[in-house]
Amino acid sequence: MVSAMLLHQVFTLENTLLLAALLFSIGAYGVLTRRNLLTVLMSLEIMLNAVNLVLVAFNSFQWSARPAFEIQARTGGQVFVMMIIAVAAAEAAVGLAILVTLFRKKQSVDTRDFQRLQG
Amino acid sequence: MDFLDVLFLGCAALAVVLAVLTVSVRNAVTAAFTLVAMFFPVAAIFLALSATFLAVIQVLVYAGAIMVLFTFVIMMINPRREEAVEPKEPDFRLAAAVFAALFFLATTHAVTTYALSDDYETAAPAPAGEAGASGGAKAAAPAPAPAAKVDGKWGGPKEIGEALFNRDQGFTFQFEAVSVLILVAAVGAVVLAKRRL
Repeated sequence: MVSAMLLHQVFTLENTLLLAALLFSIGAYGVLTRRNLLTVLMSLEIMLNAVNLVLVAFNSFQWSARPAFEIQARTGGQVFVMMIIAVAAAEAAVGLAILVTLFRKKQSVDTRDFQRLQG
Repeated sequence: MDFLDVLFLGCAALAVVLAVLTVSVRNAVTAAFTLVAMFFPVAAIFLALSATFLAVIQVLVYAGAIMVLFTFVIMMINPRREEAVEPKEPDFRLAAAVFAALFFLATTHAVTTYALSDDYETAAPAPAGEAGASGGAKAAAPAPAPAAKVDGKWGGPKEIGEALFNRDQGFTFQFEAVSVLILVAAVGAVVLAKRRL
């Protein structure tokens, strides 16, 4: 079994997508279960990174080896990832600012302390 | 198994372990630093995918800027109540775990069922006469496509820049929109977090 695995190619598009799905699931679990708002935001970053991995994997495995296309088609996925990283940075800044404001109000970053809208 | 395979396996294992640590450790500071450590293997995979510029951006923006933000906020608010006191809610944890596992299984099923490597050959801009012929050949014998060879000189700053700022079909509008978004986010963050303006 190990020798069969050694012959196989591991670094494929499918395996990269599986890694990204695993990272996304871990991040989703973290977002759903953590009580600390800070760690919720951190899990969110893991999910965003998994999505970036998917885009780069598709771009790299399926588009880069085809010089017949013009450059926008071939690097489009990587440009997407640049935009996502920029938006993630903006999201982190605003999210952490909201967190600081909430902490000033309640002296806590526990999600259970922010249930005023619950009926 | 060549060098890239070994690199991919090592980085994937490292990234998964560090991500699990990030979502499971109690201390927020430890979580922040495992998250920083998680960004590096992902950047290495970007490198292996020959997205060199994105690997650098990943390290600079995520491991640099975003994590500095996180650690600064941790220092500012100094959460004295650790999560050790949190009451266990095993039902909700189980539900979340089931949700995450189901998502992963569904994605695995989708990835392994639909042959992703095969069908991009037909998407190539074939001349009009050959389109039908190649479609028929694919239906007859969907040969397992070899993994695409990624050439080393790809995804550097030059290629990304050419794609971004091409005069005719570049992404200049999107670029400007994102820059306005970042400006608004920076101003908004200051307005939100500052005590008195």
